[in-house]
Parts: sequence; structure tokens; C-alpha cells
Amino acid sequence: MKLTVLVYSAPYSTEAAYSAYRFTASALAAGHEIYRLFFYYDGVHNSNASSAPPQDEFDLVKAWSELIKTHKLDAISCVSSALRRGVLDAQEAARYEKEAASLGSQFVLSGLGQLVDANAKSDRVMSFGA
Amino acid sequence: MSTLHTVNKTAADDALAACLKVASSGDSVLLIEDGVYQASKLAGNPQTRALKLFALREDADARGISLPATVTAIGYAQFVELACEHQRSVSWF
Repeated sequence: MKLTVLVYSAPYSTEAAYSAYRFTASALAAGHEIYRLFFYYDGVHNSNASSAPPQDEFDLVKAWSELIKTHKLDAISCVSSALRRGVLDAQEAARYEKEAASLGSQFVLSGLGQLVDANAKSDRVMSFGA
Repeated sequence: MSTLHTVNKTAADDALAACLKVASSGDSVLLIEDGVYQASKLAGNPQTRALKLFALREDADARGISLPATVTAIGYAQFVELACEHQRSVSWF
């Protein structure tokens, strides 16, 4: 089946982002297609590549990036959620004259149209709320 | 059309109560994260007779929660299966 996973939670705030990660990894392991990962509200912090947890801790941001890269997933961070929270790609950092871009290279900033499209084209959408 | 409901909050939140108001015969309720604290309450609720009840085993184990017999412990592989078996899902949070 084609599944879309919608993530509302940041790492370290609630457990939901980690639940979403485990659900996604299990769906891929079972042979399902992940049509899109959509990170919304505080969920955009999952795409903040500047996150640097202690080395002996599970690194959720890194784990998402590796999962996305390995399976060539389409991972979208909501652009208006991300800009408010300081998760910018190079283009937005230049546009808003910010010192650094922090969006991970495996993620793309885009709008809610991508969520509407995912709802229409996926067999199932699973939300993980904060 | 059946629905998979997931609940990830304790009884301090009204997520489960709101869920049970709309869950109908043939639906499944899956307790995840802090939702597993409500397993006994869910099993004892007469509103759940026509529902199938589940809880994520690793979330229950992490919190030292023993699940009642009417709440089936499942892993993430079965969570994915439940999501596919039901035509839609609602996440209560």
C-alpha cells in the first residue's frame, strides 16, 4: 500500500516523532511504499540538521535522514512552520538574511499543497500527534 | 468503512473519551505512548464491546503496564497491518 506519515511532534518534546519513525521503518520493512513524509508544526524540528545530541543517545534527526536517503523517500517540512521555527534551507536563509541554514539535505521545504496531494494519492495517512 | 483510532494520551487528557464517543462497531482502538496507561480503563468500559482493542507492547513494557486480557499487545509490524486493514485512521492527541 501507499502510505503517508504526518508528524506533528518535535524530537525530545513528546514521543510521537519517534513513534512515527518506528511506524515508517516497519512499513518499509513490510514492503509498503511511503508516498510522503510530511513534517508539520513542531514536527519540522525533525528536519533540523543542526541538532547535536550526545553521542551515546539515539539520534532521531540523523535516523530520519538515513531512512529517507536509504529508501529515497519524499520528505517535506512545511515551509511556514519551518520558517517560524528557524529551520531554513540556503535559499530561505539568504532571502531572510539569516546567518545559517539548518534544513537537513534530505528534506525539502514546501507547502500544504503537498499534504493535500498526499491525502489524495495515498491509500492511508497516519498522523502522529504531539 | 472501519476506522483505526490511535490514542497517545493519559486520562489527564480527554482524548480517549472523545475517541469512544465516535468509535463505532468494527473499529479498532490502539493505545500508544502514554495512552497505554489507560488500558485497564479501556477494557472495563462497556462502550468498547463492539470494538477491537490493542496496545503497543513496547510502550506498555517501557511503562511497566500489564495489559488486561481484552487488550491485545502488538508490535509495530501489526500496527502497520492495522493501518492497512482499516480504510482510514484517526489519531486522538
